[in-house]
Amino acid sequence: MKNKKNFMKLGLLFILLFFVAATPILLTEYDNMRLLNRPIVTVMPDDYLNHQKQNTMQSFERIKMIINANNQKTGIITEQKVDIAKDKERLGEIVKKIEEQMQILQTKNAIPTFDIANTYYIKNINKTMYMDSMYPEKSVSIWKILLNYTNVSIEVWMDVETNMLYLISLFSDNETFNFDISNISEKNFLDYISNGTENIKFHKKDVLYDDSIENREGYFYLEKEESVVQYYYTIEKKYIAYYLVT
Amino acid sequence: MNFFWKIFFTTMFVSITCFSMGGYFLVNSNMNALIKNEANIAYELGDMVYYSLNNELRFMDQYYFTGELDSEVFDFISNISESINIKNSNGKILFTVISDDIGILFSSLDKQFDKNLLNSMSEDEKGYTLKKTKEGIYLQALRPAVFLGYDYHIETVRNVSYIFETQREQYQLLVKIILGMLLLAGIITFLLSKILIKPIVSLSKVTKEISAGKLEKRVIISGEDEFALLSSNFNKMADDLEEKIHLLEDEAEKKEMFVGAFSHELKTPLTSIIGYSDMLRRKEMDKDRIHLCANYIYTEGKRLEMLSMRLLEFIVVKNQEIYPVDISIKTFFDEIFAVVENQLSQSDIYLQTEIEDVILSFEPELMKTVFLNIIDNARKAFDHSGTIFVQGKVEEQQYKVKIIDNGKGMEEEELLKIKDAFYMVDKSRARKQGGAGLGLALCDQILKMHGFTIDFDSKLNEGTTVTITMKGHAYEK
Repeated sequence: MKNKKNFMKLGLLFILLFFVAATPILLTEYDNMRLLNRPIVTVMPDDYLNHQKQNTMQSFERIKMIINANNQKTGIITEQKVDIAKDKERLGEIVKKIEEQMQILQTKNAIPTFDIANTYYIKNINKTMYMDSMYPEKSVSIWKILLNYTNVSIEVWMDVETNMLYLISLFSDNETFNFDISNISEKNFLDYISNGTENIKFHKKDVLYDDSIENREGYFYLEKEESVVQYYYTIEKKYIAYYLVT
Repeated sequence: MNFFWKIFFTTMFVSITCFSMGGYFLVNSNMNALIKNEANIAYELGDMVYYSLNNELRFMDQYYFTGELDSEVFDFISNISESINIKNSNGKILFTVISDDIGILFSSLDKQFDKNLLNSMSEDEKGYTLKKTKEGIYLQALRPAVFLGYDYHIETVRNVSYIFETQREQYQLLVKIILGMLLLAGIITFLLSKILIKPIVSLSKVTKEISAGKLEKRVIISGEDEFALLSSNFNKMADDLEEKIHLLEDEAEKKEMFVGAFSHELKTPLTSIIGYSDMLRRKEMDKDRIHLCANYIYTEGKRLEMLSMRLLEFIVVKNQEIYPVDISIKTFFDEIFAVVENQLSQSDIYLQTEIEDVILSFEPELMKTVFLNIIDNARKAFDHSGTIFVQGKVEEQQYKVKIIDNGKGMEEEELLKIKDAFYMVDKSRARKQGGAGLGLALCDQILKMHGFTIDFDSKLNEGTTVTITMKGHAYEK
């Protein structure tokens, strides 16, 4: 009788112990149930609609933003498809702006002079916006276009706001057509890119051909306040390119 | 319930309560932090969508939007949302654009939830809620936006099932830890309780043995803790108890012996009285024989009377309070010598005395009984003539009285019994001399009451020396 009573006492204490041990699980079940569908609301900051500010960045900073958006965790890249058939009027204006910038580059001897025919074919076009989520008031939007003319195919990255060409590539697949690259220098493209930017440095490295040889290929670097932008360039009779290394 | 279970449950209740509550707060704070983090990510994604759409609209409205019709605006926003592909380092961002006026304009989300959250939000508030589906638990976040003068909300969704899964896994781990702890605590408590209750078990065992009669059993003491103190006190108690029990046993034995001896002493004269009175009753005897029988009856009757008187005296003294007075020891002994001198000279015994006079404190009448008894015993030790030397002097701050006789003396084993009631060295002789065997027992009792001691030194056929040490009281010459 005494043993039975003791056994029952032990059993009750073990049950109590079990409930103490199970209490957090039961409490959590209850908490979780309460958590579902419960609205948790926070007031937005006062300036949450007034983030848009005038883009006052210079070319170097804008190029740097493109690179950072590709490489940094906080970077955001928004690509927008463009309906070529639907947006003809708009595309005409964009091509016109590209041709104006190419003329500037030709004047500066960054790219060779060649005749641009009236007929062109847009092979590919899209708009890409680069942004840092930490600084949403700043963004750079770029038109990425591949144009085909009679003798030359052109690929460009043009800034939507400033119309500057941050990347250009000219290619000819016509056997009878060669670019005149005798006066063309990558330093001239640098001069174009750094337009209006002060204290910019130029470094040229990894030159694969000697300067005296017409065809050449290599890298150059733009440096400003310990920030570096790298370009790959190639200057040949059939192919001239200034590629931004992202 | 034994000690082990008490320690076990106490330990377990404390440990499990701490673990459970600690685990609960830890797991829940971890979960809340994860949910908060997911909510922040969802808000950031909503912000990215908002900034992207806003930037796109900066360059496109001039071509496509005249702003004349509401539907034209909503279509425009819908087309822009559809045409853009927003990517961050984790990939494409999925979202829903909800017009506050007409509802969902565009959604790339693969999960659709009710928009009840909007009812809890004002126009300048963002918010989130958790939604449960068969596939898992999702966090739905909404933030306000204004495009082209119209109010919208951007919805982003995060799968947060992993948080609840993590929570479940953490609780599984906690349960495993608690079970492990239960086992470990059980083992530790078992060992600990064994060590702790070892002295108690030992004490309990010894208690049982003592109660079974093994009074000499004692607890082995180890350490210096409270249990050691308890064991030590128990041992002391057992010592006292054993001593008291032995004393009681001795007392009981003495009483038994006393009753036995008393019965025996009664029986002897009664047998004579009965025998001679029977003879007088049954037989025709001449006058001389009748006189002889009557004389025997009278003598034995007197002995019975003396026995009863002595016994009464012994009992009275035993229960008596003493009232000591300061008295000159020489004066005291002079009175004694005056009493015994005549009787001793009749027995041809020479009394020699040498008493150093001091003042001592005692009950004179009782002490007189002591010395008269001892001198009388010395007298009885002689068959013929002899000498009794009574010497009293101060020795080592105590007064010692020696009564020395050169009588028959006693064997050593008899010395141990002579203070017992009714013990007589030579019974027939003692009875002839009117002895009852209570004299020394009475003396011993009186001396004990005074705090004095009596010692015997005797050699057979050489004599006996009785030394009475009167100590414990101040004295002066």
